[in-house]
Amino acid sequence: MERFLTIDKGLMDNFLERVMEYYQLIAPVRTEKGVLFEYISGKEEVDLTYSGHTILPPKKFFFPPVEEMFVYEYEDSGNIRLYDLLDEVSKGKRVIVGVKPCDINGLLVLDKVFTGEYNDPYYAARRKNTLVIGLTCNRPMEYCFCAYLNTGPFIKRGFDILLSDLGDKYIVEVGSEDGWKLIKFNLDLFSEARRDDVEEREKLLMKVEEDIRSKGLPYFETIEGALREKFLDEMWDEYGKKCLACGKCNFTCPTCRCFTITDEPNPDLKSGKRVRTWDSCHFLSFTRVASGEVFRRDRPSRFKQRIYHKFVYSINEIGSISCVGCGRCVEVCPAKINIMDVIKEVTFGVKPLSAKIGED
Amino acid sequence: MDKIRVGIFNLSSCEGCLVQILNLEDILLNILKTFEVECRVLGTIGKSEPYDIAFVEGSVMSIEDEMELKKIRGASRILVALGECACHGGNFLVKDFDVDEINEMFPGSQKWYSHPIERYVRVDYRIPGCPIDKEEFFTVFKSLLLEKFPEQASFTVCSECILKENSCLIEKGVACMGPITRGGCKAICPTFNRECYGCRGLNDDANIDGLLHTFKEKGISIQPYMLPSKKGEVKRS
Amino acid sequence: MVSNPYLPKLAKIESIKDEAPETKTFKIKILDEKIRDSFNFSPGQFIELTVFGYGEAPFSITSSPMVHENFSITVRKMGNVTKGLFRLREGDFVGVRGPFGRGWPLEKMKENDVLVIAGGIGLAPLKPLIEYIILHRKMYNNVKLFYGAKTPKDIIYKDMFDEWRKYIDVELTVDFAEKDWSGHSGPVTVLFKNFQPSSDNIYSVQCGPPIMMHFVTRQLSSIGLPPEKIYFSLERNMKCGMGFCGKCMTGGRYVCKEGPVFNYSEVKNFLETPV
Repeated sequence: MERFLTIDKGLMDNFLERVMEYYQLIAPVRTEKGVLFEYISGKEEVDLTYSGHTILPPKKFFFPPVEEMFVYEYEDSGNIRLYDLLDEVSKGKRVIVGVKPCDINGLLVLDKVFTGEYNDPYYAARRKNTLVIGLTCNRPMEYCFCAYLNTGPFIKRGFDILLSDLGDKYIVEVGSEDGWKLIKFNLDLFSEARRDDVEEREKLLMKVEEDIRSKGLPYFETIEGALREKFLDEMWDEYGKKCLACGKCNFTCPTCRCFTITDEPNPDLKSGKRVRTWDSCHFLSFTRVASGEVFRRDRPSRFKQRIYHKFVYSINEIGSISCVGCGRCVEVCPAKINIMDVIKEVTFGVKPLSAKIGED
Repeated sequence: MDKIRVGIFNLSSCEGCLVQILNLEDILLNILKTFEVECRVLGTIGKSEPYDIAFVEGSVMSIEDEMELKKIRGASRILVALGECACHGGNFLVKDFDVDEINEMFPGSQKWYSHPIERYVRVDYRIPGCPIDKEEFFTVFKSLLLEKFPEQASFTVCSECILKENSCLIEKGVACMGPITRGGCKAICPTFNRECYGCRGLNDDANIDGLLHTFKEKGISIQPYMLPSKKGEVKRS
Repeated sequence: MVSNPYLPKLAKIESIKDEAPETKTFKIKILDEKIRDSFNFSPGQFIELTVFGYGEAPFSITSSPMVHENFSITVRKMGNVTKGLFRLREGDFVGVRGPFGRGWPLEKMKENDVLVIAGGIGLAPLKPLIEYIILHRKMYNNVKLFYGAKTPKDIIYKDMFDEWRKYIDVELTVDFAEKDWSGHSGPVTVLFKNFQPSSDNIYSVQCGPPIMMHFVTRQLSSIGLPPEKIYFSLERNMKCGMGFCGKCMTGGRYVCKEGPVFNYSEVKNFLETPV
């Protein structure tokens, strides 16, 4: 479905207002902390001018940091009842607006991870009830490297509608039937796009791509083979010394999805809930079993787990690297460990072995 | 069902952790109703002895503290160290003046010290923090009633801070101990723009050298009382 | 309505049996008849057991795969879930998810000798295999069990060995022998002393502490077993059982989904060394 329209910037507010009549709206909001995705109560909160990325990726609305899965309750008779909280998740319709291409690709990675032999119903329910309105970038930030992974600034799928900022208007690409419906009922706000609008978007994104590529990164084609070769390299000890194992890189990553599951009893101790919480492979407790044994005890091995899962194991798991080049992990790292430096170091002098990256 | 006997004691402390427990008033009343928990806040051992669970707040700063602590231990099945003072010796009770500094400033017959209770008695469980997090206290309390081992948080303050999407204090040149400090406080200090000074103790496998290196690279200076190595290994005497 | 794979099926504890100090076998019956009837498992697979309020943990199924009425798990008191489980009595409720994972290579082992090696409670996931072999005894050649435990008290399934001996060879050893112990003493590898495989057609399966599996694997390799015929069951922190939570991932493989049974040649290709 290739269909282009435009909407004047002045009319965007009207569009969002109308969307809010039928949907819960999630959008980027500028706060003193930075730009965050939040539920919106008034259209004036929405900020579609942000560059780069929000602090946490939109995954928090699809796979929340703390998810209550079900409630258990002992009845007075001694019987036990379970109440599945999935039913709650399935209710309501949402629109998330302003999702950048890297983050859209992050969701596409999670889609692959959470489906297959088993399906994660909580994630699936939220994906199903949420329309995605993407927003392309006009300017890359310091740590953006999506262009090397084909996860941006151009994007072909994963959105219902895609917006690009052309100054006084947005050019709007329709990406799905649901996206078209959203526009169709508000067609009075949109005009047909002219050919030069589409060309202008192309030029704009090309410029962003060039800016990112001017950083001179290595090509990711060689990364899998290089990592396989260097599993026992001494370089990891150095990163292990630097890494503070704080877990921020995992939590801000659009594709990290490891979690733990616990029971939280209520004060009466006769009822309670099962909860899943984000976990990080950098924490010592991540691999701990009941006997107390920890399978990844030294820090370099835990540092490696994140890198290897993203660039090696993921290829077998979902058919592609699971890094989308958003640069969040670089930005939030207190020790300023730069994943791009890691990749440069690993791939230095290594010839390409495999090439499976980004979208197929 | 026999009453579960709980004693709450305090040694040398500001009693801030006790206030945190009292802040749980609504839930505590509920628990007291359902489980007939007898809860006595007292300075001396009362009539509920022996105790199923004893919560001990404060550090040992005198021979009297030490004797009372040993008495409590002898009379309790489970002993829980409550708060930073009991867990690590109250580095923050005396944070403005290091204990050594106090001794220098007040040279007298008495030599001041502030010791974690684990130096004198066996501790079954620790609830760290200055003050404790009331919800964490309640979670531990529930676990003990269910005879569960209350698992200590093994994530960092940093990881909780980023969930609140706070901007990083280290990035702003502040000596924040978030990356190596055991979480569970919901990053309350950094959320209010106060640096974490590590009141909850070190997280598992805390990379102290790494953090000091990071501070050095960023030109961040650090107060001596915040130096994690000063908290030292706890040894029982 | 999609069925939610995270939601445990309600079940009741039918009976509890003492096996060894701090070790019990729980017989569990799923309440819903339809689910119970469709509960099929292969020896070596595991379930996620919920003790409500305490959480969920993985346990190998230890009963015979031919029994559908109920199933059993053998549990040592270790973490919170097992602590909670040990507080329960017959008739109390638990939750069950699964079965999960890949079990022992029943088909490949047919027409071959089978050497079963177990340490401590590691015999649990091997018991259904032994029972399967006994039921299909003609399909397997020489079958031998080497079992080691810390002390004679720690031996589990004590009452089973006489029955098993009618069909297969069973040799026991303990690390710390006591006065009335007349059998072997020392780690399970002492049982290899006079052992030579009679032919190349031999598979070995093992489960036990990582250190035991390490030495047993070395022993097996030294007597000429090729890596693809050395199988073991790995223990990891398997929270979800479906390859989502990431906790059991070892060298890029999900132990919960692709294991817990792997052969040594697979494991050798892991980047991380699990055994």
